[in-house]
Amino acid sequence: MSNWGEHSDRLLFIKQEWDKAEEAIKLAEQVCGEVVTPSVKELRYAGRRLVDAIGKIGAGAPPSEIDGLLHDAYFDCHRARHDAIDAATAKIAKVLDIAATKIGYEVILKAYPSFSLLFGQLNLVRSRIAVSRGDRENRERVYASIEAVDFPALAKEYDNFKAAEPIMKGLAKTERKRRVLNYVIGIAGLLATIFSLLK
Amino acid sequence: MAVLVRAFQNVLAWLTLADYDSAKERATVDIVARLARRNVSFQNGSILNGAALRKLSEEGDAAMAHLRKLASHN
Repeated sequence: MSNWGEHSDRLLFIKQEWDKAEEAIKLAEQVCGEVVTPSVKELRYAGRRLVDAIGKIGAGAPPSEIDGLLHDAYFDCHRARHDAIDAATAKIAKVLDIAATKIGYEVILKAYPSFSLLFGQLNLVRSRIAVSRGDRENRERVYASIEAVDFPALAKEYDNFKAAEPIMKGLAKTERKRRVLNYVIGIAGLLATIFSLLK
Repeated sequence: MAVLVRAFQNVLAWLTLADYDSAKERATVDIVARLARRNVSFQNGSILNGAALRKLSEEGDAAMAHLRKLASHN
């Protein structure tokens, strides 16, 4: 038989981890709303485990069964938290890569001169995530520091990048049109030369 | 002919920078699919963006209002 008292410590840990996961999701949402969907799903799975555990406590199920469900709920919250940061960081890395490939550094730097600062902040967060993966004992501490300091700074700088994006896109469009015009003029010139030689 | 149409579409996408936006959307889908451990729909790239979510929510509200109306008539 189980009662609420004997699970109160674990329930408190789940509450704390759930709060942290929600904070991480809110931070990651600032980068891109859609990338947090797997994290939200993880929280949903945690909620399911909690509901099952509450049902079993009410039904007086053995403590080991309830402990298993609560452990899973805690782990799901933990995963939601890490996934939110990982997804947002991956999204920023991808966007910067796409911008560099499709728009080009010259145009980016004209509209957003702090590009290297943003890139440096991104690399810092990514390297800390990599460190946390190899250091299981300190993973919690490393992630807490990423969430509290490094990631908010990165998200803020990424906001500046997003604010400059319409200017970048405008410049890139002009540049592409200019390039097409140059090709057309070049081809027309070539054809005119060929025709004049054939006359 | 289809190749020419595709080539024209690609040039148009390049000129309007639509290729940049679609690459970013693809990146989001890839990230979600990579992190979706237990959800097959996500793994297949089916995710709702903000606009689609809002539309689904509005349709749900309308359906609920319609159901309530039907229930009150019976």
